[in-house]
Amino acid sequence: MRFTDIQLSGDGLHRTKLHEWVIRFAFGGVISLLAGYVGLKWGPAIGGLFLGFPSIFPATMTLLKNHQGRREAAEGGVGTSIGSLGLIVFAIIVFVTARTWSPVSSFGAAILGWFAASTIMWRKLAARNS
Amino acid sequence: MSFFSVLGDSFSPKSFAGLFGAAPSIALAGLILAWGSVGANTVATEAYSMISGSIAMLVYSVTSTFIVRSTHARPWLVTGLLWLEWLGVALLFYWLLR
Repeated sequence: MRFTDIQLSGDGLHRTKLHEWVIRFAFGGVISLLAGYVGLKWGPAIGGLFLGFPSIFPATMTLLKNHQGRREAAEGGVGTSIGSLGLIVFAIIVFVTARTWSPVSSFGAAILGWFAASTIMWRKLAARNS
Repeated sequence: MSFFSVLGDSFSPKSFAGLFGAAPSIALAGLILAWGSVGANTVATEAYSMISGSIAMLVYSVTSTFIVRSTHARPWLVTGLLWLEWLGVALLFYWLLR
């Protein structure tokens, strides 16, 4: 498992074919519609569960495994697991602030919370593995 | 969702790029729509349930990663079948946290 310094590059973007993007976004679109339908039919308490549904994870894992191998796919999966912890933080922030803050402030804080929590936990894991 | 996917594909190492696989892209879209149509109370209710869904996502991604790394099973098959695990864990925590 590599936890080398973070780098920004376009290699991954160039490697992904157009139909693979389409599959990924189609998946996400279908799941969004499903979450909306579930919410309408069974109410927001059940519909809200699907806001944490792993919609693009199958496509992402498959693409990683096909392009770069099983080990890289597993590395991506570790990252998604860490990001899921950040997603819990996101949900908590929205829950706590939605009724009293403006939408922009609430969602902005939640996104920052997701990113900060995910990155901090990733760094901690990187430090333990170095 | 496009923005987070592009970000995820732009970073290395893969462990960091993988963070964006759990980006709140669909959640944002759903919550923004909910805020516009039904208001903040519903958004708060959905966000509370989302905690359970996110815990299930954590369990799901750990299990999927372990199986993909340890076996030669096809990722799409493993991750597709484990949606049932996600549903079970999500409903369990929904019941525990209600």
